[in-house]
Amino acid sequence: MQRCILSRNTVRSCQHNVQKRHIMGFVRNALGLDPPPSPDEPTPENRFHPWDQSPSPDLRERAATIRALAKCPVTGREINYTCPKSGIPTHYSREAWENDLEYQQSKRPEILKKVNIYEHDLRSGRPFPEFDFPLDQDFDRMVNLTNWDLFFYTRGFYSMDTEFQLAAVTKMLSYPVTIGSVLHQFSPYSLNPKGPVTLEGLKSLAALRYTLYPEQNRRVTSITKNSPLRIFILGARAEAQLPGHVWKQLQFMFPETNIELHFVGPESYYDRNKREYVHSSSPIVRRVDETLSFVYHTDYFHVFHEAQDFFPYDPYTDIFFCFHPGFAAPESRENWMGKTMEALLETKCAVFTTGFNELDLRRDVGTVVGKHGKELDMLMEPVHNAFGSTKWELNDMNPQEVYQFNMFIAGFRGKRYHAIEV
Amino acid sequence: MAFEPSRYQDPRTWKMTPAMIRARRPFFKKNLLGLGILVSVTGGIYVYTHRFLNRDNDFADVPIPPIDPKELEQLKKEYEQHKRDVAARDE
Repeated sequence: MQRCILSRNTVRSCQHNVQKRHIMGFVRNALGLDPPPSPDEPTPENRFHPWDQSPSPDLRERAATIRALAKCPVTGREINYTCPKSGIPTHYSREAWENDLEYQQSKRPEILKKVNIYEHDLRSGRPFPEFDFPLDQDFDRMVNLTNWDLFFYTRGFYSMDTEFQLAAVTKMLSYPVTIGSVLHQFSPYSLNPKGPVTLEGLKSLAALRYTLYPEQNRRVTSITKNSPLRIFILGARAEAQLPGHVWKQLQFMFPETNIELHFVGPESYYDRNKREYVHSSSPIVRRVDETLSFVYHTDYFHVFHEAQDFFPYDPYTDIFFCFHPGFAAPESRENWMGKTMEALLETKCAVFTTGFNELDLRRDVGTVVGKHGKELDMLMEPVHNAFGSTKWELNDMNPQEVYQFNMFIAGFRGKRYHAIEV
Repeated sequence: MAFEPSRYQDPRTWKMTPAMIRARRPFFKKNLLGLGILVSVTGGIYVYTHRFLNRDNDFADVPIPPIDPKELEQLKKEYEQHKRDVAARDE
């Protein structure tokens, strides 16, 4: 992901050469004298290469990884045949590929083709004007959070005309904008039965919005205005490495609020010079500007909870996010479902979690409810995330398993009152 | 600031970009319906006014006074005389 992030200064400088409009262009267009499209412009045709013969070495390497790790779904043998529709190695042989009717009739060949062309587009070396992000919003301009297109339009992003530009930008912005879309007063998620938010969820969100919008319908101004909004991101991995100007897009949605982002987890701080995850006994603080700061806590959440490092928790200012935690996944279940989940429910603050697909998220939520069902309230039913990444990814262990980051979202919280047996 | 060309218009052809068309899609039907209502109300008012004003009934409400038969005879004679005078003068 980092490869495609341009440095901020180069990005800013291209904003100055504002193009002029010429009347001749209009006339030429009316007469149908369009010049041919530039070869830089991404199309599904010019971005398609089979991964084995890809012009970029790391995709050839990835194809080799798939061949080494994955197994053919039909014969159960090693993968030796590249699907001609998608350009990705999927089967043992041509016969196996032809016999896999389930695969041929599903949408997976097209989705795998998208995986292929998006990866090639990121490595094509074309100019990326879409990474030129807008600065703060004018006071009289509202942000619409219905979907990506409206968000980009109302915030004044670069006009992203192709799926390639959307894929590149939404993968990065999915994390900050997902958080923003849950908290914002114009959130796309409405109350049951029209939307996924339950009554308990509305209570939690109302408390947070009380802090975020101190001027609204308020007879008594609260003193919480000075304390920052603390957003805890548990099990942080890729999101902790996003540069400051990407997370700043979240702060631009709440211009009055000071935001502290707490990345918690052993993989939350990556040192690019040493190329390893850093473990530090004290939190590492990085200030982006006076309204936004990052705090990296390089251990599991329950360690800090037991040491009371984050104490006191306040449901008016604190919110937790877990991006694809894998509560139910066999490799991460131990880490999450023990002390960490107990600590998380003890905070009584809202917890939102996302999944790679609906099944993944429902399994996660099912595991939590199964173990702690009596101690928690659902805040938001699992629902398609309006601000998930639009870039398709594939699993190297099984190339037919395709997913998008943050595709589904749900929310829960430790019960705020003692359960009484009747 | 306000006069900066929009990023959502093609700088060459001035057309809306595909991104803007996508952003406007959720509002397209309701906008079209609103346009229909506004056009039909204004159009209706224009049509009604035109029909009302162009009815050919000027002075229809002014009563014509009754005329005496003798006077009518006199007037007809004068009119015939006038027509003959004009015809004679033209020759």
